[in-house]
Amino acid sequence: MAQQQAGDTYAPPTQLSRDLGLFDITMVGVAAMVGAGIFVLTGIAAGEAGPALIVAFALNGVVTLVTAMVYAELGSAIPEAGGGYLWVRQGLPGSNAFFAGWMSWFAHAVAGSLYALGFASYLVETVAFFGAVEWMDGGELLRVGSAVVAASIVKKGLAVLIAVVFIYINFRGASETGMAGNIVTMGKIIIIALFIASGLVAIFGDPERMRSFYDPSFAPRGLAGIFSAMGLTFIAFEGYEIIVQAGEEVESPRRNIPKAVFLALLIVVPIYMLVALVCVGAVQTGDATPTWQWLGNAGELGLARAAEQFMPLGSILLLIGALFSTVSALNATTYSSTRVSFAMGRDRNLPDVFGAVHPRTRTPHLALLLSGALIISMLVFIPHIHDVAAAADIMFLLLFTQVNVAVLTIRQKYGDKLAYGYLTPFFPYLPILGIVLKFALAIVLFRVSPIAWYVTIGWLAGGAGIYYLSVVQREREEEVTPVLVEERLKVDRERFSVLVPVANPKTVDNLLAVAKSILATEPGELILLHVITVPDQLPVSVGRDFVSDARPIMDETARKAEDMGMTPNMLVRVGHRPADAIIDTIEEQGCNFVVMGWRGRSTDPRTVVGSNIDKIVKESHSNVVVVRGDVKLPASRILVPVQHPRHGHLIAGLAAPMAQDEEAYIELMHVVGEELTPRERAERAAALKEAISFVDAEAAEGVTDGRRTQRFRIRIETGDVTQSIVERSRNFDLLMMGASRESWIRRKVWGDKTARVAEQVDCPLMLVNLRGGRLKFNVSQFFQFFWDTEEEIVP
Amino acid sequence: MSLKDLREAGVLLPQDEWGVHDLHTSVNKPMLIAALLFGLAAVVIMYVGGGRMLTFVGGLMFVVFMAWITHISVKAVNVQAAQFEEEREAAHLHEGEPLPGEENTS
Repeated sequence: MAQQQAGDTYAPPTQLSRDLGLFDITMVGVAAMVGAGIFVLTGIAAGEAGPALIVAFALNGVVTLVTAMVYAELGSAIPEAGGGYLWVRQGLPGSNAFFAGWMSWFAHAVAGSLYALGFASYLVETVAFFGAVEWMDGGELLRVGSAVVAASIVKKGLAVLIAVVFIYINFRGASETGMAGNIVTMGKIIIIALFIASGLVAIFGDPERMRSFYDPSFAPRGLAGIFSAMGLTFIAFEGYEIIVQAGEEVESPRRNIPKAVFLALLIVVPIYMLVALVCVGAVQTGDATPTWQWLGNAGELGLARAAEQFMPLGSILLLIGALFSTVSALNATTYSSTRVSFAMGRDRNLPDVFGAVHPRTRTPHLALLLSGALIISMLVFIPHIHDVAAAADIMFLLLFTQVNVAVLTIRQKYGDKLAYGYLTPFFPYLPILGIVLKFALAIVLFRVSPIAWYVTIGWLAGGAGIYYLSVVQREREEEVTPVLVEERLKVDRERFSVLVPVANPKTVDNLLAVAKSILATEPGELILLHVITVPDQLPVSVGRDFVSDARPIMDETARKAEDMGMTPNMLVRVGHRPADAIIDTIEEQGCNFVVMGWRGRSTDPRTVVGSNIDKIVKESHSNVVVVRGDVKLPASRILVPVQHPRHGHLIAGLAAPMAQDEEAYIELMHVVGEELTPRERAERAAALKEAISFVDAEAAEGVTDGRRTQRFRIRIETGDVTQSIVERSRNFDLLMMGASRESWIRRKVWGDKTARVAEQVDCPLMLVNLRGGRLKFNVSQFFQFFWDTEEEIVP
Repeated sequence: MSLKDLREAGVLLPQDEWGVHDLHTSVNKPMLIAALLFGLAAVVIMYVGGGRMLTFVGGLMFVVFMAWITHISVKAVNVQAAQFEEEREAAHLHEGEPLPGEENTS
């Protein structure tokens, strides 16, 4: 298999030989599906859907097809061992990766509980077959010698025992591989084929048996029963994930993986329908009990009880098949749940103990122990086997829902940078349909087992607690760019502050002057930041060697700030990208403004101002001021284009302290594309005056000598916005422009008009992006993730 | 995930190939709609049949639907592969080279 043994943490990365052809990989998928799920769940599901179980299986085939298309697309484009978990981890933001792992761990562990319980039931049935024990009271009690015990206690005790055995086997490092695994796979498929063939022979020999399909009712519990059966048996349809998991070993994976996904379903879905057909059609209960109810009463043993009636050596063959299937499934789920939790521990998504490897056996013993504890506690504390099955189904359904979301983001972000072997048709509607269907099935399972949902919610709530109390902090600690030097850093994060990133002290005067003007509007702190950048190929720790180079830069800048009457706080960080370090500082220090220098139009056509500034504008919750050219402050003539009169006061408020000379003035320029009526013009002028009166009154209060120093002028023009601003700016010392809203409109403005004007004007320029509310910012960040395309240039 | 991660995983196309390939599905959409409608009809007939003959006719139809949709999908995979090579040829890029991650490293 593509997966390495979990304990092989120190093994060098290896690539596997691609020797699985289309037939092989299709059979891998078939073997993963036709197994313990169908043995254990058919009887239980028949009890829900009745004879319409055949419809439930067909509908599950349709629901599965939708997600299978998504798997075919992603499995062909990213044929890596991680499969669904990997795609969710890679395609979705923030906590999704944690929850994908957290749910995957639980789903595999609870599936292990289900198979352990299934094994225990079949083991008791086998012992009963040989007469060593005797069922009593309709299967509620067991007579063992002269003692009578509750069957459920015996089954749970045996289930715990077999779970412990497989925890130990996994601890020793053994796994189901090679010949033994193939024999089990072939054996169970042959047994199911014999079961179907025998059932069909029985039906054709006595067609009257088919009465049980409609007498007394085909769907005794209606559509609700069918949907419940679909939810319960979903776990038996999700095996095609194994196909993509084996992607690294497949010849021509872009062709063979999608084909194998569809071919496996083509084989498996009719097999399941035939199992449903013979289970209901070939069984005779011998009394008035409808067949479906008889199967439902037999629960996880339904298939074995049915085989007794029409299959030569039916019971024993079915029992052997079921025992082998459940045992191999238990082994696989113990292994996979351990592997998921181990990976989460290693990725620091769970406490470090999960990532520990035993020194002798080289297995992740603590992850195994905790996964084993989870398997055992679920099978002990969840009362019935159908509750256990429902809990596993709900988790897998939610995981598959995430995969359907992930395909939307991966296609959006990486587009044609990946080589797809198959592209989901009717994109994005089919994945969205997949999301709806999976989620609906999960909801339907509440009807079957409320307790399964309570357990699920409890598990997710526990996960949320761990994530927000521990993992978020860890992620932050790991992702944040390290601080190498900090001096006189402000203590109060809430205090107003202006951040000035410094690269070269010779060009910092403009930025400090702007920072001083901003601090004139509200007293606060000046924070100077120098970022030591390290190439991607080198670890961040290398940056420590360059701290001594940063010292003179910071000292000189600090001296300049002090000359201007400010007391600077200083920070030196190291990171691969300056923007990340600046964003980290904004978040940590709660900076209200960032003042940055800009040399001119970016050469990268995909950025507006430049990759660093664009990133800071997009990803930080701070006001951003970008300065280009030799800005002399205080300025005499400041031009402030205003897109909408009601936003005028925001930028005019910032401009006011920058024009403190007696003769200085600020012109608010409002350019409209079409001719205004006199009334419209008057209305807009009034709106602008209102904005100015607010700013002017504020500014006037701060003037101590009693003179009004700011003179605002209003200009309303008709014409091309860009050209009008460019021409008008020739008469001014400073052009201040920007957007006041943090939404897609902001991006439009920055990307269109602002960029065009910035390109064409010669005078000193100040671009201002004023932030919105925190909630609005967080919401826009969330949607931004889905909207963004990955544009990184790979060197 | 970043492009860097994808490149390290060996699944990223060469940068000169970005923008070359069409992202429209090669699945025959009219045929797919027809198959889906046929599958839907099969399920409805199975249910409406109430366990009698019609149910099994619906069941048979459903198996045909599964085969049909598999045929459409497998064909789409072949068309997609051919189209991919054509796009490479048209752009004079990496013609006949194995796709990223498909080199046999045994």
